[in-house]
Amino acid sequence: MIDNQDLGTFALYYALVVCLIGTAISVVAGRTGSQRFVHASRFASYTGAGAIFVAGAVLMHALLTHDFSIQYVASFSDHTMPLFYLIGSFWGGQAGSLLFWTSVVAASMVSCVYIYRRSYQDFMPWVSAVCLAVLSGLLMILVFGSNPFEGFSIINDPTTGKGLNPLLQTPKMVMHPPSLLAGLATMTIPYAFAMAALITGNMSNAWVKAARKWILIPWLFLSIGNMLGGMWAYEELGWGGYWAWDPVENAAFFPWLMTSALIHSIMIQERRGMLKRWNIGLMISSFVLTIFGTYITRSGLIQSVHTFAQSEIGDYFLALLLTVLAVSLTLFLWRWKDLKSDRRLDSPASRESAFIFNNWLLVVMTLVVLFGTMWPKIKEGLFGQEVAIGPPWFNRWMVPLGILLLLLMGIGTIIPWRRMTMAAFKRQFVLPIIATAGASPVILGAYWYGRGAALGVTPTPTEASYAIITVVCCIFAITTMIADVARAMNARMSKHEENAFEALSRLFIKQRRRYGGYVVHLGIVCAFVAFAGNALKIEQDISLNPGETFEIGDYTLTYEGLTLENEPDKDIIIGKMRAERNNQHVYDLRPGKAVFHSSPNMPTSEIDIKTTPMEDLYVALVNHDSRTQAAAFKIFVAPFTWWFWLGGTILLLGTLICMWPTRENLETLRPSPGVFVRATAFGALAILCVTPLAVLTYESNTAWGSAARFERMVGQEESEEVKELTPEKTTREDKAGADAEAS
Amino acid sequence: MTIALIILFVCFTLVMAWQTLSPFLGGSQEQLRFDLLEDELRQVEELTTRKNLYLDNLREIEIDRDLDKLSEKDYLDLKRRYERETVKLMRQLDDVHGGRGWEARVEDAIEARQALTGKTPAALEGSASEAPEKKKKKSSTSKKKKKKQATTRATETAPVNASGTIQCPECDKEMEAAAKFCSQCGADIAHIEPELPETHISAAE
Repeated sequence: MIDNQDLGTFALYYALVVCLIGTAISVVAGRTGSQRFVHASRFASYTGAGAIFVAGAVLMHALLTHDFSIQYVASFSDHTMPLFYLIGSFWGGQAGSLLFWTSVVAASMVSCVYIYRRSYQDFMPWVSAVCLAVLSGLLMILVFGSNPFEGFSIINDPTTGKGLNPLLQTPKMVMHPPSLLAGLATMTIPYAFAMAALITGNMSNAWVKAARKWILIPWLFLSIGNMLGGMWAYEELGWGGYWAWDPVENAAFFPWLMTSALIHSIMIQERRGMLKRWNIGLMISSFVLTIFGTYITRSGLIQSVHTFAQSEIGDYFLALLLTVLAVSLTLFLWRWKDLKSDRRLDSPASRESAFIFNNWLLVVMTLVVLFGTMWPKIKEGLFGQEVAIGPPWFNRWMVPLGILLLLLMGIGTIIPWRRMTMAAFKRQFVLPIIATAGASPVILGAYWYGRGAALGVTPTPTEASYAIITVVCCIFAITTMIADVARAMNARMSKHEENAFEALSRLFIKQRRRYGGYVVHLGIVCAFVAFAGNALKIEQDISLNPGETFEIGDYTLTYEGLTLENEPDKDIIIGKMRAERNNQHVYDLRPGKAVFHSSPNMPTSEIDIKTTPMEDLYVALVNHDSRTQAAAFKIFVAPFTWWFWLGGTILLLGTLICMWPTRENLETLRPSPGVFVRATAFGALAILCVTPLAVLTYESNTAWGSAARFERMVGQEESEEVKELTPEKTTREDKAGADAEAS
Repeated sequence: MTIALIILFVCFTLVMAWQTLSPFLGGSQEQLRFDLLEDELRQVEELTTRKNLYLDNLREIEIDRDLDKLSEKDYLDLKRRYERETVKLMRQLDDVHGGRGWEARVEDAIEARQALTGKTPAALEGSASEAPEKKKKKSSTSKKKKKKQATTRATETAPVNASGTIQCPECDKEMEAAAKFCSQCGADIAHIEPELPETHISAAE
């Protein structure tokens, strides 16, 4: 009987051999154009992917059947874990996450090769070659550096595993890594198209047209991954916010920023034949930054919250990074002259210029984040000095850059191509400017006198100005979008004799890319509203004794004491708190700390957040004294944080609208039943997109989001496991402990 | 369930591995045929994809013009360029589908036959001019390909009369030159040995 170790390892070796041979076949196919080799390269891609899927299925089988003879299974799972977390442990460790990454590259390669099996015949052998070469590199790391099927050298295998890291045992954390890994992995496909264009010397817009939907896929997954990561940091880690400029967060942010720039700049190449070098450069940078981000995470080069992902395979990733960089740059320089733009910029006041400025801003933002992430390490290496670059430094740079980007978003929506005349300015800009000038004071004043002033916060002049400018730019961006959509609807209504609803829906059906992009912009605007709200954020760290009250904003919080809950796998300490506003009870808060028996030194936070569109009330139990029941809390009131999650959700839905396949796209999938496939795939993706906000809302309004879910149901007899943490009891326990130590 | 998944992926891998090797396992004739097989179909897909992209661009600029984001002059410039590219692609598609290219090929075939027979029988012209018209009515490339082959075979295997028809060698029923089978007795005309008239043979000699 073949065991999991042998079958899994064999599958990985087989996949490596097939990928190497497949790369060679694809190169021959690309050079000769022989249909036999083209056919063989396509099926070699399927074969290699199949073998990788076998390895993935074997690892999943080993995890679900608790095969502790495999080191990976013993290290990241145990008997008590529920199915959901067992599935999550597939990517919970180093080797498994790498296998997952490889599987996603393989799956996206199979999809691409199948969809374009009859088109882009000049590119496809080279696309297969690049994908198979990347897969070969990843498989080499898996086989020689970090084999997930490694067994134990001793005869007796462990009878149970160590379990998954407690920090990862939350639903969001089960979804965050695969989304992020999928984003990093799917970047391979558009990169392969760029390389194919360089190799074949076909410098037309063909590669952009072939790759444009494939660029949206990594962007979508990176967006979901970053959003879930932010949600996890906000709700589980107790950072006090959703983004703390943690180096590993930044590592996933670089490719997102670069891809955002690329999504805009390829439009210029498609329409005007400009920015050819820039686009290839951005594509190479995006791909290189995905590997670079992984390298700095896995090698332990930078310290971060993700230290659990560190391992010895950093050197392998460095080798992969340098190889990719060398090959890409060589090809890029080789074709440098052929990549000359067809046209020049006609005027700085044009749509092309707005897009170019947008690209510069996004690239500068990437460089700022890159510098802030790497400079402490570089300075330590060069001068032996340790420096820390924290959120204030990042905010100092990123906030003004972000505001400029927001302004350009509004301008870029309505500015004409080639050059803007005075007449066009009057037609396009005057109305949005007047609307912004009228609506901004009304909205800002309404919020300040309706709610903001009651919080009792006086922001610094800089913070206040940034917040006001951000809100004004948000309003401008929205008015430009409304004006543009209204104009398009009018055009349709007069041309096709449609009513307003028909015209609007047809716009989204016929011009998915354009209006899906507007929806994405709307999501970004919502996120900026949340950023503006930070100016009025109130944050306090406070230590309280039972019965004491504390005021934050116009909330009065009363601390009522601690309780202890014993679960089979963990103990939970729960702080009871009551929140009132204007002498009226508004919330019962239950922040807590969970101590897993498998990792007693790694307590996790159960933060209670009450979310509304106006503000979040956030309470985290930081520390406690069992004897006196005194407890330390981190409490803050954050206006408009909910809008960040709403913005994220809208952004994801907008991306889906852009990606929604046309009838022609579906034709390429035949003979599969198109409607069913489309409905299922995109229904699943849409659910995935909406889930974070739905979970957040559910958690905020029920006991599920706080430690209250561990409390017993009302009316149930208080068993021996559930005890009030009284001073007498804790003293007794401490005394017994001291006696035991003394004896 | 994971066991089923493993078995499924193993089977998938093995089938795909066999498919990878299959083009190299046959004889040289088969390998040559593989290289030519479906070549036209692939060309059609390729050209259609590119054509659709240009049509998308045409739609885009029309909307931009409607929204005042593109001046009338720029719109017309771009429209002309995209239309030119689209027409170029459509011509190429015609070549593959059975448009001008096919006519040229049929003309070549007639010339070759004329050179072979040394005569210009009206029958040959009749069958040649009839064939493209029929082909245009068909939309599927593969069907046309077969029809073209059938036409070629028919003209090669059975003597063509002056009226552009052929006679069944089995039952003497008259039928179109492109026919593969006799409509009366069902004889396979395409595979009957050619019986060129003596005048043709002597002329060729």
